[in-house]
Amino acid sequence: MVVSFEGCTRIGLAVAIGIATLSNVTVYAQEKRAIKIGLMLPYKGVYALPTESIDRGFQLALEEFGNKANGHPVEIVRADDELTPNVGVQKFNKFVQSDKVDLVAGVVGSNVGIAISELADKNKMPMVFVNAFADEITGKFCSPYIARTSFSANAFEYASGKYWASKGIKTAVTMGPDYSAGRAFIGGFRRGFEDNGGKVIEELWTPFQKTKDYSAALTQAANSGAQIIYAFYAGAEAIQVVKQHADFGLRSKIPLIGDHWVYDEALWPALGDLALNAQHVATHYPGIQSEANEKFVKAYAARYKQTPDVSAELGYDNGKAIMLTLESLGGQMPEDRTKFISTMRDLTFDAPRGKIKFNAQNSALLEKVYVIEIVKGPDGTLQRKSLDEFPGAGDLPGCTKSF
Amino acid sequence: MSTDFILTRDKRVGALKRLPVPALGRAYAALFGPFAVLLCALPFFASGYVVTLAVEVMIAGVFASGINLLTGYTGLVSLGQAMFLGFGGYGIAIGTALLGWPLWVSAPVTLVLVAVIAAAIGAICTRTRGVEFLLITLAFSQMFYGAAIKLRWTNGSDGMTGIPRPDLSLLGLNADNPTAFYYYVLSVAALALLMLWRIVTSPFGSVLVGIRENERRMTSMGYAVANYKIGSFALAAVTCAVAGILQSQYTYFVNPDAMSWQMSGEGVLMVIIGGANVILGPLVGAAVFVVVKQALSMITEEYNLFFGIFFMLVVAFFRGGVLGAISKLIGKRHERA
Repeated sequence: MVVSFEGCTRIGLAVAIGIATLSNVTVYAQEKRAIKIGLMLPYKGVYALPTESIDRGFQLALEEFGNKANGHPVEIVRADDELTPNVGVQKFNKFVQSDKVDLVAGVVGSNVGIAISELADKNKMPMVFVNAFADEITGKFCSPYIARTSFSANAFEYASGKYWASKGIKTAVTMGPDYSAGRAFIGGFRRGFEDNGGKVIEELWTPFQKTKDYSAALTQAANSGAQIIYAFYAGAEAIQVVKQHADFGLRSKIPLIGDHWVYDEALWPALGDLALNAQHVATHYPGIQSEANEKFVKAYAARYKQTPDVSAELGYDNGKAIMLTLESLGGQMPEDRTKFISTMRDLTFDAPRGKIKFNAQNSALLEKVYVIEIVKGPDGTLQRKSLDEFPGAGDLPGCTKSF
Repeated sequence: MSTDFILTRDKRVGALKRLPVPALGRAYAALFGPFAVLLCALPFFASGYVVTLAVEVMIAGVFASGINLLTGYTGLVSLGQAMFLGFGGYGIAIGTALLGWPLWVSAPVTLVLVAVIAAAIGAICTRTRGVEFLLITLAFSQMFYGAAIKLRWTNGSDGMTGIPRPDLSLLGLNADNPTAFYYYVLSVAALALLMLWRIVTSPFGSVLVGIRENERRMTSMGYAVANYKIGSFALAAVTCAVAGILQSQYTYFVNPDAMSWQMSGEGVLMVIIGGANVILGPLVGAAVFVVVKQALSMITEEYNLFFGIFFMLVVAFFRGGVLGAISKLIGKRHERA
């Protein structure tokens, strides 16, 4: 353990310079009073495709405000939660303690969302979920520090189940990944479907993130005698399910109906003609005729040279809700951070998908659900055609706290 | 490194007594004295994030130390230790959330139950050795992992939240405070390591090393090798469960991922990086593991690739891990002196 004196001096000098540089940086940052948003998304893995869209939509919303809230610059710090609760927890701690963010946004996986909900509450850190649709997030795990700008699984899928039951579908098999969001989505569909006279013959669950082979579940579904398969899958998993469903020759025998993630626009290049004539329900499609949507679709196309998919719209809503809240708070995070979330809760704004309002549990409500068929447009490209629309359902009860 | 060297060279190996503290021990003490002071004083000068990282390091260190007792000292390489990590977390989660017991009841009950279950599993697993042992421990942990994913009672793959931290109000502290929690983890980790150190330097520990070096000889000397192995398995499991309790309190959360084989593998990696069969090896390994992974993930998205390369370099150039390399350095200095 003999370090030469010269060495000591040299190390000392280096440390001193390092500290000096660091303190300069902090002073600089304090002067500008930037608001830091920690954006946590699963940039790699099975949800990489929808995640890219969310990130783009989020950025677009911030750019609409010139990346400033009441003159205070707004910065994004990104982290990849790898769709794994433990990693999400680590990254959340990094946001809070190292990056010193003012609020955290994003989070796609409900499994990560559930793991983080307690941490956000304990750390008094506002958490604005972009997806994390599981009903428990704003139910059992609700907190004055947590809000969700999308919608709950029940709002979307209960309404969907009700719709299909009213369209003469009497029996269905469900397929979904075996994790919180999968259970929540399929559960919502089942309640809506069965409350309105349908019958779910069988619920088939596939391991989440751990399989690429859906043949066993598809074979069981084909032999069940049900009229439709109702599925919830997203990203890479959705591509495989749709492809294998077609490979097994089930397209004419038992159609695969699902929500917008199963036939996500981001997946069309991978799906090719398999997407054609598929029917699904969606919370947004580019053709919605409203001022907010036309503005959004135009801005998105100008910025990214493509039409926005559902996830892009959700990312946009997330960013926009945060920016509107910050604006009404004068561009500053209040001392009592619950005030940030309660301000957001009082917000009403016109989003591309329709009007966004929040309920008492800080969960955004779903105004409309659209029934979509994917058709070939006049120029030969795939397009979405709206067949019908119906209102979203309410949230499940379960929040025992009051705030 | 040093202890087994003495044991196998000692002519009176038949009369196993407590092993003498090796000369190198003093050099270690000189190295780790300042290190210990640094750990105690950390929250006073380091940023909040460094303190959080240190908490992660210590928790991983306790986990890897448990593995080291089994792998480094007894010579049984297990790929299933994460199941005990999960048992620890789920134990207090079930105790506090589902049964409504206070933490000071749940935690000891969890550890006792883990010891009993581990003795039963150990009795089966330790009948095999080598690759078979590795596979059967893996099989057991995958079985419990699968059960944890399916069990609706514990929320399946979503896991359980709301795990309480200890009530430190007697000391005027709030364990939700990162600094207070840091000292809580530091004391538990120090106690766990002290206990392990006592075990490996006791006659019992000497027998474990003897089993690793030459099991047949230990049998012929009249030691009930099977019982010693089960004992080692259970003690390692309890240590891992302690880490599991700390981990779940740190995140307020436990889910089946805690029991995945990747987690077991990471623990074994930490032992190899730090240096097997040195008491502080796993802690050093955990520190290198957590810090290098963190640093790499700040630089590149594909940090796992570079982490793999880093691990290969450690194995290729640092035989006996980081501590092995250090003790070699110290040894050379001693020779020169």
